[in-house]
Amino acid sequence: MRALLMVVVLGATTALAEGGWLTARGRLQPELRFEAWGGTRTAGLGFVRPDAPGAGAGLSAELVYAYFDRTAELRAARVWQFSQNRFGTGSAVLGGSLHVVPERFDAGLGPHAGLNLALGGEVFTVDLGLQTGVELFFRDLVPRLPQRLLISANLRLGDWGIGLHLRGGVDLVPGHAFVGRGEAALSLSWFGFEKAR
Amino acid sequence: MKRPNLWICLILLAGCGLPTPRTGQVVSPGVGRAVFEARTNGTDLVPITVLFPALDDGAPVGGPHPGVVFIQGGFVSTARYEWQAVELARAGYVVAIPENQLALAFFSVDYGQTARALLATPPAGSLLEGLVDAQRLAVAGHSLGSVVAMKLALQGNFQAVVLEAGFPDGADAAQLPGFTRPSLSLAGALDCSAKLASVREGWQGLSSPTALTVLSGVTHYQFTNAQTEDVQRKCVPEASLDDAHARIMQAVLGFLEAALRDGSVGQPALEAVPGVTVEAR
Repeated sequence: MRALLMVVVLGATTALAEGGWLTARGRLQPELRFEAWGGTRTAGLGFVRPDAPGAGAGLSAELVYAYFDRTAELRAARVWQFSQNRFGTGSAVLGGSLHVVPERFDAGLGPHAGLNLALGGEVFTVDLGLQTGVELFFRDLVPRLPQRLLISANLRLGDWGIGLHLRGGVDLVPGHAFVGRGEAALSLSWFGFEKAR
Repeated sequence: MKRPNLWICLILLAGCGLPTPRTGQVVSPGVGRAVFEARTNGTDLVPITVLFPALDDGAPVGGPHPGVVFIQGGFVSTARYEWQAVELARAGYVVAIPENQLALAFFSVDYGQTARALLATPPAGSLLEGLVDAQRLAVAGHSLGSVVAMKLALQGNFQAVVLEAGFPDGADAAQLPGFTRPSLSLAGALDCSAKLASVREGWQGLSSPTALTVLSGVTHYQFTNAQTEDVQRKCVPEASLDDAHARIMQAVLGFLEAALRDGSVGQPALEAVPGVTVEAR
């Protein structure tokens, strides 16, 4: 634990306040969900845990590795499901992230927020999402604002689920040119942890 | 090994620096090639291919040399422009070609400034240390890359700009009158992608000193290492690829030599290129 804390404190960090993959869903599943994904820029794994079985709020954490950039990121968020009707289910997300960039020493804070809508039923949904964030690098004191749109198709069969996800957007940097972002990913989810215990 | 967690942390924190080549691979007589990586936007890792004047063992020829940052065209790999970088390096230039995400420089304009920074303030101990004269840096680009090259030139820190088969972004029109560095718009007369009329219209917005040089018989993709796309689209060049390349480089070198020497466009050198029409102001 002390070693992990040392990595977090001393590790070269910049904060990339991009929202999480796992919380970019309109529906908070009633049980604990573990998920792993592989995409065109990142791979990672994490979980979403409702406060109680079937609760309308929960916590999420995910560990991400961006293999082209060779950086690692830890994201955590609180998610609330705020509506559910016959047409769709909506959720809101508020969280933060911590980045590790191996050869640079910089610290930053990366809050992010998101709104999501799930269209569909218990088995198949199409999820739409908006994500925004603000990050500040303490070395440069230059804020950066990542803005993202997401769409995904998610299929759940029993204790397993698969998804195809697309995310695109820009990083807005005051006084600089924007940076375009885009990624596609496949995910595999498992909901059977509590049954297996 | 005691305290494995501590060792793991130390390994993570130490020795994870970016590669800093001290020599390059000789790719052509007198020309070396090396690939650097640079950080930008906090987390983005940008591969930058550098071509430079080299000795037989791949070590750089002592500088300082003038430098060029070259921006790739849309969806065209950087490797297809290395022929230009080799010719420029053979003539004594150090050329940096940043790799843009999805080969779309328009969505990562600042990667060009990252490449400039690599040339101007290189990593200590790398082959670029002391190699480039930061006061003689030009930016060039082909097609959509020329749009980005003009944006980079407008941001500053470049002494000249070359637009190959392209023209400035209309959104930058208001800034163009204030740009007083020498510029070259180099176009192919038979370009089916960046039509000559559009290139000329874009050139009209540039302030002097500037030159428009039109190469007869040359098409859009002849600025790259192959004209395949032109032929597939039935845009048939009248000049051979080798002839096009020779004239393109003669024009670019003639312009750069003058621009980085005395701030002119080198009109006599441009007019000496076979099969061109030159307008300058």
